[in-house]
Amino acid sequence: MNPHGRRESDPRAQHLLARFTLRFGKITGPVPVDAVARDLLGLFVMESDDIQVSGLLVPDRRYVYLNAREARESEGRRRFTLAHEIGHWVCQCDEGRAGSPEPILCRESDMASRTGGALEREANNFAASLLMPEQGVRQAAADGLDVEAAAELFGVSDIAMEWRYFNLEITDARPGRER
Amino acid sequence: MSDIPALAEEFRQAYAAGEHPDAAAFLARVPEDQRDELGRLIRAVLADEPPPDPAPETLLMVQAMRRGEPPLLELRTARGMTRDQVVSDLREELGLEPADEQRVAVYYHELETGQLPLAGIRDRVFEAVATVMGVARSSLLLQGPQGGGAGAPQAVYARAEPGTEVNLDALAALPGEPGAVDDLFTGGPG
Repeated sequence: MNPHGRRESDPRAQHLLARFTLRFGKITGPVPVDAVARDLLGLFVMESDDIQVSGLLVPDRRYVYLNAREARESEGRRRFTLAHEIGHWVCQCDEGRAGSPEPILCRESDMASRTGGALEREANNFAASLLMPEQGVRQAAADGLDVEAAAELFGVSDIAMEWRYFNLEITDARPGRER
Repeated sequence: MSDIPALAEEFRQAYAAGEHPDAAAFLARVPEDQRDELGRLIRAVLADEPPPDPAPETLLMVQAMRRGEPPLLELRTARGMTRDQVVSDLREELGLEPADEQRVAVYYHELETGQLPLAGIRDRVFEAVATVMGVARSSLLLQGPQGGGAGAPQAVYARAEPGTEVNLDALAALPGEPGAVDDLFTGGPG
């Protein structure tokens, strides 16, 4: 969090994208978040109608489950959820090197606790930094793209881009909803 | 009568080329009463020849293991190969049907990330993985489960609405019925 109350970009997301480029070539268009998860990190991504959560990471198995219904409804939300789980994998699991972390299920009580809340915010900020790289977003804004146009360019939901514009101090308008 | 000196020379050349030839496999190629003689020549090769430099891909995989990362994942990404590409090539190399691809993908994921017990994997699979990766079988470094293997997941991270539950058991099942693919990846050596 910077002195103005905005979330700064997570450098680990940029590092991950650099690693991806090094191994699989230049990224053109929206960040290929599925390929980052599957091809670079060795995560197995599945969609399921049987889960009642948006997304789920099982570190020991390197499995990511995404809510199939939500995925059908919004590609932007699906991409953000997958990037969020990648955030858990990178930030809290150290890509599998951290051993077996303590169980964390993000129910209401977990979200209310300081630890659970901090981990979720960290994963959210990582996801935003991964899908909406700061340099690219600033360039889009400098080119005059509004939130909706920038969201389309980066393959995210409008609300995700609203938060990114706010956190990068491109706009002062604080979004009122969750991503 | 086998040509024992020729076999010993073949072993020496393979060893010098860093291919880590399997001495037992060479001994198995000659009648029992000639194995002592071939074994003596092979021991002489091992004693005389300087140890070969490891293949670059082996070094890469050793370094990954030292960092606590799965060696096969490191090898694949270093070669810029996508997992779908590897799974598709592996399925073909093993002579399996396109319908088997999803099952192969699950097993390959477990193999790549060190979750699959190596003792259960057929030799054909190791050969096929080496071929797909473009390395010698002897250069391939694989890792099985550490610390007791895959048991119940120790942790999950869920992006959830408040009050929701997660039933991991319902998600864990492989698609379809067990068959040839399962035998290849869990049926044991041979």
